[in-house]
Amino acid sequence: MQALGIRTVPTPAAAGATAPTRVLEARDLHLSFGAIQALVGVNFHVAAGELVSIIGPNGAGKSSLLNCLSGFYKPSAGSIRFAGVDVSRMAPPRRAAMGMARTFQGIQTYESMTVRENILCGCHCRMRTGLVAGALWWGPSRREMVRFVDEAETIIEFLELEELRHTRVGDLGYGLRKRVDLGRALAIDPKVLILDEPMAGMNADEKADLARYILDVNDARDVPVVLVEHDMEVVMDISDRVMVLEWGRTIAEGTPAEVRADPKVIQAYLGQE
Amino acid sequence: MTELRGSPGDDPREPDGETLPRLLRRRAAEHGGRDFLRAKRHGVWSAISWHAALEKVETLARAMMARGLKRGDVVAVIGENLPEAYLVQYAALCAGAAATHLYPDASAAELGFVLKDSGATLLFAEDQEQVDKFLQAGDAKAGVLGVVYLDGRGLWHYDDPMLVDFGRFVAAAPADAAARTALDASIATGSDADLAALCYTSGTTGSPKGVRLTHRHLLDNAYRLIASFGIAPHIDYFSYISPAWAAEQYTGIGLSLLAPAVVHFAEKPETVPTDLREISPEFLLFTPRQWEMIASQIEAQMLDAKPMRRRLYEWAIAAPAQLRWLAEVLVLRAIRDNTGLARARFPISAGSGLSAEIFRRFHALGIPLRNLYGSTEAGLVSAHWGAEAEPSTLGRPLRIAPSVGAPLELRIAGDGELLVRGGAGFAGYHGDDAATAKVLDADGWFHSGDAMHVTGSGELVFLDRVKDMRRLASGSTFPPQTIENHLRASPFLRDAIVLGDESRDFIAALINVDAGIFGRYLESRNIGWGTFVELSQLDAVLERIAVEVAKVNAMLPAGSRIARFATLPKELDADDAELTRSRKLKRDVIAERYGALIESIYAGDESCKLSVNVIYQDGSVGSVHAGVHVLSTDAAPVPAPA
Repeated sequence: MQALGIRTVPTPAAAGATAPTRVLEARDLHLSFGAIQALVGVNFHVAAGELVSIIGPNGAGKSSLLNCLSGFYKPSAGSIRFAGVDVSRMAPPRRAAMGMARTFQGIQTYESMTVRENILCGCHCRMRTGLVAGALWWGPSRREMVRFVDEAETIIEFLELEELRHTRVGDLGYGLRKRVDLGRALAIDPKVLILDEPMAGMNADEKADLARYILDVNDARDVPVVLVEHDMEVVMDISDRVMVLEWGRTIAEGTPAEVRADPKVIQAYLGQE
Repeated sequence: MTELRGSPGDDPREPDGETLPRLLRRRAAEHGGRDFLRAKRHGVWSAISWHAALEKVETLARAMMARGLKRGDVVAVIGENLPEAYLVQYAALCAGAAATHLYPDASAAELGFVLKDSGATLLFAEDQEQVDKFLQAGDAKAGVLGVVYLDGRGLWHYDDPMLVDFGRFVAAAPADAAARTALDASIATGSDADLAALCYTSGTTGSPKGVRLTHRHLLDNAYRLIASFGIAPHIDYFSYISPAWAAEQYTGIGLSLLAPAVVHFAEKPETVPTDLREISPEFLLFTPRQWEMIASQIEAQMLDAKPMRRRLYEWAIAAPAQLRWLAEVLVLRAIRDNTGLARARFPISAGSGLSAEIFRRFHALGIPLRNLYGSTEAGLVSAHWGAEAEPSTLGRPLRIAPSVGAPLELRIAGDGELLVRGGAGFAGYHGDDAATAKVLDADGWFHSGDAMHVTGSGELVFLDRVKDMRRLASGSTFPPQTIENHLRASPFLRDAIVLGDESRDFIAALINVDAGIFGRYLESRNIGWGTFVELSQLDAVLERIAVEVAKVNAMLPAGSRIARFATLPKELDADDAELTRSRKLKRDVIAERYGALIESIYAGDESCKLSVNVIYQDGSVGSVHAGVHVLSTDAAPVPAPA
């Protein structure tokens, strides 16, 4: 509602305006820990506006793949391109600065800080003024802070956390903390959002809420999402495309319906002969 | 037959036959850059000045006219209290149309009913949730020219051509001379007898009826408050109750222009306690339930406090007059500040009865709470204005602007019913002359349906709805609502329904316990519980409720005491149609749903196996099964041998 200057409506995403470009792409990734082959020739990509889920049994290599994408692991072979740049040799912070946002399993928020402060931390890698300017609360640093607080508040509104903005994150329940975690990932203004088991340990209501927010991020901000998640119902419900890993290899890839019907997937999950 | 006459007001801010749009223009000319509306977004309060508000209203009005809105049409609005909802109403009025607001939790069927009954041609819906209700409204959609949504989130893939984004709707407003002239003409030709709002009565009896509120009626009632209470210009008002309620039409829409007032809007319902603290409004209008909730919050915080603090609090609210200053410094000021009531000069309770105990508690805290009585049809009738505020009364008749009409006349009919005449009067139900004729007689008396009596000092005391005053088999009468209000005063009870009629020998009560308060109460006693069903039937809970019921019985005359009671195994819920959206009890629904339990109570059983259907927010249906205990009090008749 810009016209009245009170509430703003996110502009609808220009759906299908251009052919989907691959925002993040990994080719022929290999990764091994000693004799164990964690990834064997895995190809992966996510296109603009897409929501891709990676599923597979424990030890299938899902987290290894995410860690290669975000730079925590160095693949022994293969390449990773992000936003048209080869990032294979780039350190995680530089990838984050380029707009690769990631959340981790479990809770990684700062307990003693408020919701807003946690989200502001996500803006940190985009702040330009330094320690001295910040300490002096000098013109540019003050303006920058005002701008980022407003951005953090936009995220708070988006995630409907207004009544908790000044609440210590340590006082919140698990579901809300994961929401704050997502908010912090959004604060880096991501070009791609990588979520590692965001719904583990949540009850059905919390899962439904978080799924709604993930879809809204994907829809409203047109941010491609890479999701690793164990809850099949959620995965099948919200994904555009699903990739199935087993023993470090891709065994299936396609729409949720295709994957669900794939005999190899059924075998991997249910152990049928 | 008792008669009571009100007095004319002497405040110069008279409506003088103005319409709201003309008044808005005048105020904008007088006060220009001063704040009119304040809303909080992104954690920061920002204001809209009178000038800016007028500009926005007129732009919006031209957009509405361009969309096909004509004089005499109706614009419907559904959503939370947002500044936009108020601007939309003013804009509709500028275009010669009226507005009808709906509570944000109204169902699709309720929205459909209002759209059809009011003949609304434009709908302003807050967000996806409300737009979805419209899309499900079936044939009620037929007359609607367009649906304007304020928040586009989640609506990205909707392709219904009816839907327009608010920003685009406003941007499409024609700015040419012809459009401006047409708007000027519309504002100039408006009459104070034109319809300004349709307020649908809550429907505790039958299906809702649209009450016609004219410009004159709105400003008349705004004046009643201004002149009686002596409300100063630019007072800080907090808008919380939906403008679907007539009282908010009088205050937020009418009084805000006439006084004028600065209207504040909460960021969202969940942030109300914080927002209230930040604004610390001078004038606010809550329902008794909301006051009860604030009182319970304070009590709950005190339950959590260390023993020393709790004792200090208890001493402070009962401090003798000569030590009042010490209580003020140590305790009371801080509590008022914490609840956002530090500056509250006119905290008003309106809607239904507030228990005298809670009323007194607020006064003990130094919060000058006042009762206000009125009805959607007759407008505001009486209030505690002036120095005194006797908790058990609804105050004296309000003062009327001489330019509007004769002072209020009140009359108590033979059956105890209050009749009202004076002021702008009742303009009738929308499209239902037969229903109008039933409550408005040829001499202009409005039959309120409320049983009242008048005290020696000329104040009204509410007994009950005339049709709700009840009689037991023995012939003795009792006021069920008064008993319920006494019960609700306990922090442990969220709601209570009093039973008993001509087919019954004694009075009984169904009780909805307050899970929040009991949660803490049980925790401090190391008692575990799982679901609400379980909590409601715990011995510790029943014992505590028995104590609370005994306290209430002690306040009542012998014929009106509760003999038996049971605690409900689920919370009363508007989604299950047990309450109206403004949290009034729907007795017929409750009597039907809990029929088995009621029969057990009167059969003298010690317990009852109950199963009740519940409707969840997503529309799915489940059921609650529970063994419910029935307890007797000292007032119970000696059980007959089996």
